[in-house]
Amino acid sequence: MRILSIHIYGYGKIIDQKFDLDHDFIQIFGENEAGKSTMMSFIHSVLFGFPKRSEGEPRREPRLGNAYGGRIQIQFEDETAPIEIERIKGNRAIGDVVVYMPDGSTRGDEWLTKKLNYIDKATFRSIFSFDVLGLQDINKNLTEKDLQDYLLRAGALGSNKYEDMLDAINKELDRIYKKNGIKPELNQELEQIRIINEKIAQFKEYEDEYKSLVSEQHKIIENINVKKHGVYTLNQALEEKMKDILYHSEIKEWKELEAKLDVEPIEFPEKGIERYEALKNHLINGKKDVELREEKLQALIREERQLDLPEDEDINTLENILKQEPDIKHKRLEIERLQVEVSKNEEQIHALMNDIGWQEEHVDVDDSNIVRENVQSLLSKYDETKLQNQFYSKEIDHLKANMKQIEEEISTLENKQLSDSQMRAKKEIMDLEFELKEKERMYTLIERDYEREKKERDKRNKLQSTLIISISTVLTIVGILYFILRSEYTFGSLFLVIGLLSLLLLKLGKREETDSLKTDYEEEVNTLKDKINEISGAHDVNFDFYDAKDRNTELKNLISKRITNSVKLEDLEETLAISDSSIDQLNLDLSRVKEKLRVSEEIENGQINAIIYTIRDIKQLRRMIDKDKVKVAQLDSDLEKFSLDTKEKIKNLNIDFHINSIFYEAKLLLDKMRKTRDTYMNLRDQINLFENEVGVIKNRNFVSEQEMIKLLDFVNASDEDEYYYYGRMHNEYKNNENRFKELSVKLEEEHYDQNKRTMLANFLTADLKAEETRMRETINSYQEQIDEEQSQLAKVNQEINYLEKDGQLSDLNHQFEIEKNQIEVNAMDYMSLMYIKNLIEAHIKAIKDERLPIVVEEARSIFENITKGRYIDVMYDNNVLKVKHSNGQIFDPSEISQSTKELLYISLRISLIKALKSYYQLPIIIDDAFVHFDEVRTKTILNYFRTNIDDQVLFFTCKLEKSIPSQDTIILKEKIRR
Amino acid sequence: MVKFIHAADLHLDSPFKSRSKMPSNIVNKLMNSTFVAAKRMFDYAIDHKIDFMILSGDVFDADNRSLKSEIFLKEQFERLENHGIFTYMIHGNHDPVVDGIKTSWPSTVKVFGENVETYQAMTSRGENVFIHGFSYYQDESYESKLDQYPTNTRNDGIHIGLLHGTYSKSVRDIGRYTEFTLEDLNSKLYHYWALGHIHMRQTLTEMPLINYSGNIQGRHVNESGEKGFLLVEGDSIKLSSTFIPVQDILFETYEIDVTSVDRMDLYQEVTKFKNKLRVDGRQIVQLIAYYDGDEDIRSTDLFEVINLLQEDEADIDDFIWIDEMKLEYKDAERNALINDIKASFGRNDSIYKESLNTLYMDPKVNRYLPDIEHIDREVLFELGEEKLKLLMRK
Repeated sequence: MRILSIHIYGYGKIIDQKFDLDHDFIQIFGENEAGKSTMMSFIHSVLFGFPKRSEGEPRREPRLGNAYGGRIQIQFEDETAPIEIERIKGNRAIGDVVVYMPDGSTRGDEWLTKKLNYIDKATFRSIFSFDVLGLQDINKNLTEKDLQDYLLRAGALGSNKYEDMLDAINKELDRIYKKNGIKPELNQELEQIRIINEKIAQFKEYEDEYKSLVSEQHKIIENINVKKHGVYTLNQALEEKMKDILYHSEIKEWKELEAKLDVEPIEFPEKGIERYEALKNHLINGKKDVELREEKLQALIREERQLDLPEDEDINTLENILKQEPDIKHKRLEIERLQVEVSKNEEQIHALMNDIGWQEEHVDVDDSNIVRENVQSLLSKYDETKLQNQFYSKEIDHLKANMKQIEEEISTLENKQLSDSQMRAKKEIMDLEFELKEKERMYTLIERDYEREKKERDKRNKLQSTLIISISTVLTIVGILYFILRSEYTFGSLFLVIGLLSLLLLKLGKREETDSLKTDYEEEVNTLKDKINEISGAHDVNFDFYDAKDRNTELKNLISKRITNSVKLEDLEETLAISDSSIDQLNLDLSRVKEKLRVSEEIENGQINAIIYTIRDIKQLRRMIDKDKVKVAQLDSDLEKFSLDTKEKIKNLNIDFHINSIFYEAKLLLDKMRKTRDTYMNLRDQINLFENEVGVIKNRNFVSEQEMIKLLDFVNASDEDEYYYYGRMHNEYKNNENRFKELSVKLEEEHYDQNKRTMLANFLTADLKAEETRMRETINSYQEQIDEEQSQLAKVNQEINYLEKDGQLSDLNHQFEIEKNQIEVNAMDYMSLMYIKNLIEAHIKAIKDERLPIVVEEARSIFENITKGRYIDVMYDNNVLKVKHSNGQIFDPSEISQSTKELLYISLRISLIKALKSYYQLPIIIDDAFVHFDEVRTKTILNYFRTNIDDQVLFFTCKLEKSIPSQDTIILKEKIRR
Repeated sequence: MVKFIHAADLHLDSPFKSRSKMPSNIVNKLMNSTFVAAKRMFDYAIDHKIDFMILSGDVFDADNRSLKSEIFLKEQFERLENHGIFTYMIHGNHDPVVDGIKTSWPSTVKVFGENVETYQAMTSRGENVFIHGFSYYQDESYESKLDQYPTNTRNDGIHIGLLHGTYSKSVRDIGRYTEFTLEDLNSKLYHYWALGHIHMRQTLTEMPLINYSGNIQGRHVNESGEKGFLLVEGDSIKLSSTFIPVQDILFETYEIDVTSVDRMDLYQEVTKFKNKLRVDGRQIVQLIAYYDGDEDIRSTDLFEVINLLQEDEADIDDFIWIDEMKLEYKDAERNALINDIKASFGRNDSIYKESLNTLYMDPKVNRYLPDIEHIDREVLFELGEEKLKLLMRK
């Protein structure tokens, strides 16, 4: 890499300057304070970042606020064109860096770090920078270890040292595991797993125990099962035996019956005894019955003969008579009712005749509606005329009273009448008085106007007079003054005169006022007043004019009314006379009607109508009486006919006829006849019944006797006793047979076959019982054994359960695995770190063994070269650097001269730079490192740098080396200082 | 119509692997988890009235073939017996016959012998089912007994093969017992093959249906995801299987992004994440937290956070146990130096061997370590590098 140019925007004292550094070797000369260190620092800063506060280096920010930073143009070997790196102040202390690529794109921090192969500022300084201090103590600054470090560090990320890594790894390894250790983690876990293992071994024993327990359990269970089976079998046999004992007696009985039944069976009719006895009883009863019935029959026949049977014809006759009873009774009642009604109607006719004043009935009187309506119309006309008459008389009275009143009023008014002259004078006065009133009103108006006018005029006059007075006064005073002061009498007196004159004039003008209009009106009023007084003196005018006028008018009206009323009265009196005559006519007509009705004249006209109705009622009643009488005659003849018929019918029945008692008698006789007939019929039926019964019973008795004979014949018995004997024999046989059958079925059901029964019948019950006892004992002994074994099994089971529930071995196995796992994890950690450690160590060893000798050899050759062959070897002896002089003597660096020591240091550094060539290609910066060298040595070393070094070399110095061409020299001037 | 359960590799009472030390409540849950899962399976069998149950080996675990597990299984078998459900069971490499059964099974449990046997079963609907299989007699049975399986020639019912073995194409690095090819199995013309041994559930072919049911409860982080059994239903024409998960504790690896590596922030973020997981039940979790930022966390602080996260779960029933938590910096560069070294010496066997030897030569330690061949050099290197990174961050 080669720095082509730098452009400082602002860094320390350098502000906005550009430097061209495009040389393989360039001398940068400047006196102290010229800015050499600043420029060096600038290059470091741009490449690796501005100094951080922790680095203990000044940041060199421009004090005057100029831009901090700048850019460097660099040509990298692997890039075709130069790139530019710009670093300016940014958020971070190291500043913001931008890399401008040839193609115009930009890169950042990371790219630059990678491009510089991760070297940091400190490493760069310690390898590529040479300064006086670094050269001074080579023992301290470049031990073999340092050299190794630098070599190892090449290409590594960051500045971690292998030492740190190995330290950390070793510490961690020790923490994890130590052979035969106790504390490290893995060792502790080993101890734990050992404990677990022991426990597991212990529990495994339990497990073996468990296995043996299980096999024992199996054995016991099998034993128990065998014995249980035995007990079961025995129990079966025992049950059998107990059954045998239970049925033993029955088996024996069966055997006996079997022997008994081994004979010919006895024949006997089915239910023979019962049947025979039943027949016998039947026969005895039958005979008794026949006797009883015959006796009763005789008694009934006797009774029958005593009865007298009535004739059917008589009964019919009586029934017919009884049938007519309601009809006859009804007819008789009807006659009575009609007779009552006739007499009641006669009574009523009589009463009515009395009402209208008839002494006898006048059947021929006309009571038709024509007569009635005629009477009606006459009566209404009469009433009407009567009412008119009354109205007219009332009207006449009223008129007469009215007339009288009017007369009185007229006479009153005539007295109050006034004369015409009086009326005229009054009228005149009224006119004059009106005029007077008008005049007086005018007068007051004029008077008021006059007063106002007068006031205004006074005011004006006053003003005028005041003015005149004042002027005249002034004139007068002037005149006086003239007199007094100048004694000029002419003027004075003139003024005085004028003044006095004007005063005088004023006084006169005021008096000329008059009031003529006012006086005129006053006179007129007075004239009028006089006139009124004159007239009122001539006539009596002390009245109201309008009242008098009204009274006159009223009087006129009353007079005309009186005339009208008298005419009306005359008319009314005439009409009343006509009406009275028509009433008389009507009275005459009505009395004619009364005559026709054969009633008394005295009867009032209004009653005539009612009389006509009464006559009609009388006629009606008479007709009803006639009708009832005809009905009564008819009924009487019906009754007579019935009496005759009945008398004829009953004459041979021994009863008397009377219309009232005939039905009762007939009924009594009929009931008696019927009763007799019923009794007879009853007896006849009973007799027939008994006769039949006797026949039937006799027949049955005969059949029974036949049956009995048959039964005796069946068993060939001669008499009843023999028959009974056979019956008993038969029953016994049947019973035995049934019992035998019953036992057979029962035993069959219990599985006792013929042979077994015979065999058991031969045993004694006691023998069987003894056998049963023996079996019971055996079973009990087995049962005891089973119980014992079962309790054993329970114990074993308990133990098994205990072991089964206890999952400790399982838990331990888990713990073991967990622990083992932990050991594995730790072991893996351990081995992995061990592997890394071994790799690192191998690497270090490789560097030590392979690279370091090359570097030392290179250093030797450089050292020999720049010491011009005085020293021939450089070597490390036990990490201590030694040099060999050409005379063969070996020196420690502290023993050789300062400048030679510095040469040795330079040689080693150059060799290192060469060795690291493949990692870093960076410019070498020399900072006045050669101050201790004489001219020759300086020249030699500079020459070496110029010819033998491929990298760019920036040589900062405060002593200008003349040997370096001026085109390779930049001189920093004073002007930089500000 | 036949309905049965196919399960395998119950590994009852099997020990667990974890990186961290767990509190007792979680250890207890883990110890019980295989039982809880198995119990759920037996409950299911009874509730759903299956015809029979098939267990294809490794019912017990070689590392802890405990009495507890046998007693447990016996009880469960008795439950099945009470419901008239038969069990057909073979023994696998982890629980060979010779290890001996200390207890005796109910009569409804049919255990296949060391040679191929056939049991005939009748379903509730009267179909004939033929079940073929064999058990591992001794610890390991390399001898392939596939030829002994009878070929189904009459097609008079449903034929089911039980086999504990390794599919030849399986890439998993496990004991390759009884390797078989699909052709081997197909040639038998069975309707269903109930396989055991491989713990990851997989269907090898659909026709005929050949299934590994997988184990019913994961035991370490490499057995992640849901675990359970297969419910197989159908007839001689078509059988189909449904997976029914029963695991009690889920093993799972999660990756999350964290926004801060401040101790408290990190703790809060992970706790939030944990609580989100908690609704799905108990889990043992391997967590990788990615962080994209400039901040750095000291390894002691990170350990403190992890400890806090673990302590929180000590008394929680539905725990989310962070077994391991890695913090990855998204822009982290590889340690160039270490890579350099690895490039130079990575293939150097003697350095590698020497690194292992310290422990493998110690008889007190080596018996607890895995076989030396089972250790992966690459994994070891990466683990070491990561450890170193942590160490240097202190």
